[in-house]
Amino acid sequence: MSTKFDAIVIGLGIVGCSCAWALSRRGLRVLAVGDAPIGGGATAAGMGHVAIMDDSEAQFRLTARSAELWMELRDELPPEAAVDYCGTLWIAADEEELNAAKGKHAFYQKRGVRTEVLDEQSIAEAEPNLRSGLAGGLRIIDDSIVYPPVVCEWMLKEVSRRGGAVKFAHVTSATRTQVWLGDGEMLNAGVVVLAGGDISAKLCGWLPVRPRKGHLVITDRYPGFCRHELVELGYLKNAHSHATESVAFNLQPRPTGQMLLGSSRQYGVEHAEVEARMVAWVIERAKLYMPRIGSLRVVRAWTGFRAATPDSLPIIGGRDGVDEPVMATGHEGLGLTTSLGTAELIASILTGARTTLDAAAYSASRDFGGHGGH
Amino acid sequence: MRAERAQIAVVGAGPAGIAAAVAARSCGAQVLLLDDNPDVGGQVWRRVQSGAAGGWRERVKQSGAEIRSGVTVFDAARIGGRVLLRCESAAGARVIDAERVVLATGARELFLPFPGWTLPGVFGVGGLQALVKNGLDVRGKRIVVGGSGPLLLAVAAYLSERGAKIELIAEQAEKSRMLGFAGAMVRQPGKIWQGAKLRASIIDVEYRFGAWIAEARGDDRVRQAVMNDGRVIEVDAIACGYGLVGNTQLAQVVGADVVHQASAKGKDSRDGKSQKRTDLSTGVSYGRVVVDDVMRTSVEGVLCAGEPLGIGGVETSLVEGTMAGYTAASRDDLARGLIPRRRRERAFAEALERAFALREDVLCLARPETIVCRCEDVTMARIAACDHWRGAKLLTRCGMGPCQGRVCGAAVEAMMGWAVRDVRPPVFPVSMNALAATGGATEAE
Repeated sequence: MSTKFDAIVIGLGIVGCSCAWALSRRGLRVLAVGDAPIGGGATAAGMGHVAIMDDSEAQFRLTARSAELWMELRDELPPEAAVDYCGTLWIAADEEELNAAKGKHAFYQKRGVRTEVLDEQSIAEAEPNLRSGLAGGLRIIDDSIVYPPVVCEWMLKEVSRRGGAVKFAHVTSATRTQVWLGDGEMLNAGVVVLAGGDISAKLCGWLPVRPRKGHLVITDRYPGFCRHELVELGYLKNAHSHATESVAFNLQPRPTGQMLLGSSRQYGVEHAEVEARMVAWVIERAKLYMPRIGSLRVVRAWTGFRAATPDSLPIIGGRDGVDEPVMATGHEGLGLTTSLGTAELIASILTGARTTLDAAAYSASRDFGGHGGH
Repeated sequence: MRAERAQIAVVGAGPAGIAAAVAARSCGAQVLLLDDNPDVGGQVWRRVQSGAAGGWRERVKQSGAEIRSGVTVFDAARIGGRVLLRCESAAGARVIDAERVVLATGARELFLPFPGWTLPGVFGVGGLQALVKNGLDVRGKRIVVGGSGPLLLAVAAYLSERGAKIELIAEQAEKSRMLGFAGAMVRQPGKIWQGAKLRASIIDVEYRFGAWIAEARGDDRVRQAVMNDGRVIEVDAIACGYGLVGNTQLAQVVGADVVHQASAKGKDSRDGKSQKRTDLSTGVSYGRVVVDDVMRTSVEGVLCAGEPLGIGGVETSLVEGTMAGYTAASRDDLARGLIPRRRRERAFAEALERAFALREDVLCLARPETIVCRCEDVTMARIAACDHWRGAKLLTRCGMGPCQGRVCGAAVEAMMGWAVRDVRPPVFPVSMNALAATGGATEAE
């Protein structure tokens, strides 16, 4: 490739595409390179949920800023991106969880995020197919869903339109300014960004990023069966426990009337096969919240690998004095949500563009508690 | 759920499955025959009682095989030296834990999209026949039957006997290609007789080679068939089908080797980034399950027979089913005795395939605005903008609807030359309850 690029972004998932897009919007000539197809990997496997999260201040800031950016982008995206502001409904099964929901409500209110606490009756009205007797829940009003592969395709078209390019190739190694491909070709650029998701650690061995397998199923069309993205509050315990295996109820209504059902988390499984045992577990969990879901028909099941980090925060930025790419990886289950914030931060780091995000919280040089790092 | 133990489970009760069950029973094996239709016979013998169909149906019912109809097998897995089949029926979900399994999963129609094909009144050839068998009245209806292969004649004859007025049978293959086929027929006298009998019942119907339906026109339903030469025929219905595609999904899910070859030119589109189709004039194969000479797949304990090995028709299916039944019952010696017969049947099937190979023209009928994936309303233009099946799925949602690409997948494979192979369980839509109930089973009762 004779053209000199200002930046090469490795990885064609939502994080890589967002970084390439954000950099090209700030005037850089960008080459996006990675294994085909565009928007494959965890991006294709995930639900496509834009969720403002409150596990930590750093996670809140990144998700909230990203949600703002998604809101700004919504009118530019093609209709196939299927953006839908259905909101998230966190389900509280008992009083303890309802108290947790109220605590979250206070947290969000203080930070200007529109939320609403639902009691037993109002959650039943909001979602009639939930079982009766649930304590309540918390509605995050401006959470949304999107179909990520279409967004990736759109972003890379924008990159090409601004003088950049897309190259389908397997990357075998990379430094801060060079990328080697499977066929022996070497590419040069002003800077290289690594957004390789769960395979990032194959290029930079120190990265504390581990693949965490997930299963999802999708139903036939049942318009109106479910209205919000539904998540059990117990999800947080599951998502953040580093147990080998866990499941949590998570249901998403698609604009077509189909529904995506998750979620499972597994460490240490490398094969991508759909495991009947895990699918059964996910469904059993769902039936605890939505007994009638059992009669719905599943048309497809699949798996994907999240890029998990020890502290559940992504790794964004470069390490000083180390000849390796600038990192944009480790987004676990929040890659879709945080892709735009990540891209803004990467653009800020590389071009000095303004951002309200504090890079230190996501730094590649932070203390990972004995896992990787320096 | 605890699994139900079986010695030999046969999936599919068409000719291959019936023959497998009969053969395995004749060796004294215990046989469970599973089928998703209300009655045995498969697609080809649906509601046919006479002749070979009646004979085999009787034979399997007398064989002592346990026949379970209305059962959908949606997943198969090899675990701990056994083969697990996950099933759903009106009675609920079940796990069958079999020593050996014969996959006789048959075939489905290849439908190639053309402008207007989504109009009401346009059917698949086999689809219309099935509807008529289930009671649809076609008396006095003007029908053009188009596409390719012997099934056109069989269905035209059937519709004609039910009172339809067949306006034309349009066979896309050139008459000159039939020469080789005729040669094969001479070596197989029984088939000539079958062919002649078919022709007799539709003796007055125009049967044209090198002809195809280029467009269906209509308003709220189909009114006209526009042929490739511009001729316009007033119709009440169109039946169109370009042959059959073997159902290899269950074999793929259990891990059996399947060869994919998008074009007989030798271009194996194994990698996802295969080129767009350039020449398919010598045939499309869609993926065939690989078996040894006695029907064993690459997965121990899993056998396969009939159409998933490549479209072969009833005779081939009966021979292969019988062989698979013998092998499953550990009588490979009996199976081996049928190798020459199988070779003859397969040679005939291959001659048939060459004779009816699809021409380029019928692969290019869809216009940019023609719908290709009906479940998700995906047009040809959107698919043509993609590079491979997975990309098309992700970007257009082609093949992601309830049919899971069973219709559009083969069409896209034929038109674009892409390999369509991302098969995962469940291979058929199934209830959440069935998935939940069958997911945990690993040990037998």
